[in-house]
Amino acid sequence: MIPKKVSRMISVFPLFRLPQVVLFEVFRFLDPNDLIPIALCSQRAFNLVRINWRKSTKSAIWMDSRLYFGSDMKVNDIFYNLLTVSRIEDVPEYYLGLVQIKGSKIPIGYNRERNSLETYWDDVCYGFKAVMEFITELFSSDIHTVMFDKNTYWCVEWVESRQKSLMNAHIYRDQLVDNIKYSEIMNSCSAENLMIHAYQIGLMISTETVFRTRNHLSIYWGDWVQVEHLMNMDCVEIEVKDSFFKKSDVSSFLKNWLNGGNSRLKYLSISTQYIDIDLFCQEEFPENIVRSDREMEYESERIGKCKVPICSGLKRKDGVIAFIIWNHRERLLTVIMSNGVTTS
Amino acid sequence: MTSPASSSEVKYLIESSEGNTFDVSGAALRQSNTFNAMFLNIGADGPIPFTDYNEATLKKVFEYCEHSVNEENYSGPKHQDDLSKWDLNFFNEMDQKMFIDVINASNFLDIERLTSYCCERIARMLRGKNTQEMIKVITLPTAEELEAKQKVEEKKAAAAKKVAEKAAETAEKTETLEELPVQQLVQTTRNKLTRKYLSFSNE
Repeated sequence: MIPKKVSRMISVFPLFRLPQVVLFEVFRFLDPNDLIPIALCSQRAFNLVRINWRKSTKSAIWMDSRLYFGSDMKVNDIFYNLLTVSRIEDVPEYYLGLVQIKGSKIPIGYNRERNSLETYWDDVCYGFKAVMEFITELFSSDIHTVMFDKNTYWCVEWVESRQKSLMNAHIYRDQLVDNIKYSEIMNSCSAENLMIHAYQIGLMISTETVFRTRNHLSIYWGDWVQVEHLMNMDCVEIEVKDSFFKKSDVSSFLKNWLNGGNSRLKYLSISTQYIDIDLFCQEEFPENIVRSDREMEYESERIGKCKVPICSGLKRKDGVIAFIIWNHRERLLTVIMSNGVTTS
Repeated sequence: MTSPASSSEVKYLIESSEGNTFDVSGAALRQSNTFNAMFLNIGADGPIPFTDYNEATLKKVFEYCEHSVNEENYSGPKHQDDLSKWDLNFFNEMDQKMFIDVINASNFLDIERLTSYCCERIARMLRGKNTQEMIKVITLPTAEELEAKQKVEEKKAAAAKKVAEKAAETAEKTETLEELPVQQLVQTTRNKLTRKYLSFSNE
């Protein structure tokens, strides 16, 4: 049985009788999480918020199903918790009232721990989808990022089924994912940027596998990745951690790149054995070796800002140079292409 | 009295909804983009009619404009903590009705600074409220009230339907009468009259 709701005295203000321009201005001063309670008041209030909210180009809706089901909005690196979803059994003693979301009348409460309004559903999966539909409709935006774990890949599939594209999919907890699931995520997820922070002992993926074309691929626990896999990854950015690449693997990969392989690649970061880059380039690629004369920078949404120090590089026939850097502390080899360098 | 001058010394006459007039300096009026667009270049021959707003509201709006004449160029709304004592007093001494009238007038006159300050105050009042509080604040009907309203609407609709049905029935009857051929009507009337005449003769 649902416990009684709490109430307190407050003064009234006829918000929706204000002129449209004024309402638009009022909403400009409110954060996305302030708009949720207004939008939940009624269908008319929902429509007015939807029409009057000024969409920022830097706003992104996140669907997070890791620790709990939550919807967030990221605006200029600030996260706003919008609505979370819990089981009906978890309704607190003093819930706030009932609201209507996508046709369902459900209790709503405030979760102090998550600093968010929380909704309670008989079927949390259905509730999570309803909440995400409510949020995306309200803010007239697609879901930008899905954070999932081994049991909630259905969130990615659901998002893929309802919008043209998905920017980020991120399995973010260091979890042991079974072989079939791992391969399914790698091959079927259509997100532009895929981050796999999960591991699978003894994972076998054929070296002839053709991976999906995407902008960015991050693989943590990448001990299964072989150089043939790398060559088949058609991405702009590739990060592989905890991989066991040898000098010969790096040589094969760079030869392939010099011959036109991985043509879209602009950033590569892999765990390798120690390599003296200058010596390696001189020995393996004496005809292609060049040296940069100034520090540069690479910047992207996924990588952030990355300095490119003065270093050796390999020049391809078309003039593109692959600058090669060895990070001793992290035992990472980073290759940044000159056509991806943003500032110099 | 009123002229298209740009000097702040020039006074303009403003007419309110009551038909009263009062002076406002040119410098204060020029904070209104509506005024700038309508009168600044062409001037006004008589009082400028802002007759959608009462005198008290207009005086309040132009009190703000007069005060902020010498302030620096507007660069977005101030945070509550940055408001001067005068600003705070200005807003605090208004009741809600006056506040809403001032917003509406400020919006019509397109006084950016005042409108922004008012909106920021409203936003501050709304921040941090949950849905139930919000429903009360923005005077929207609650879900229960909506249900009750819907029931009333349904009853109304049912009653209206009954009335409509009755009306349709009546119309049908009238229609039946109207549709009787004229000759038949004449005959019926004649028969009645004949019966009346015969009964009269018999008596």
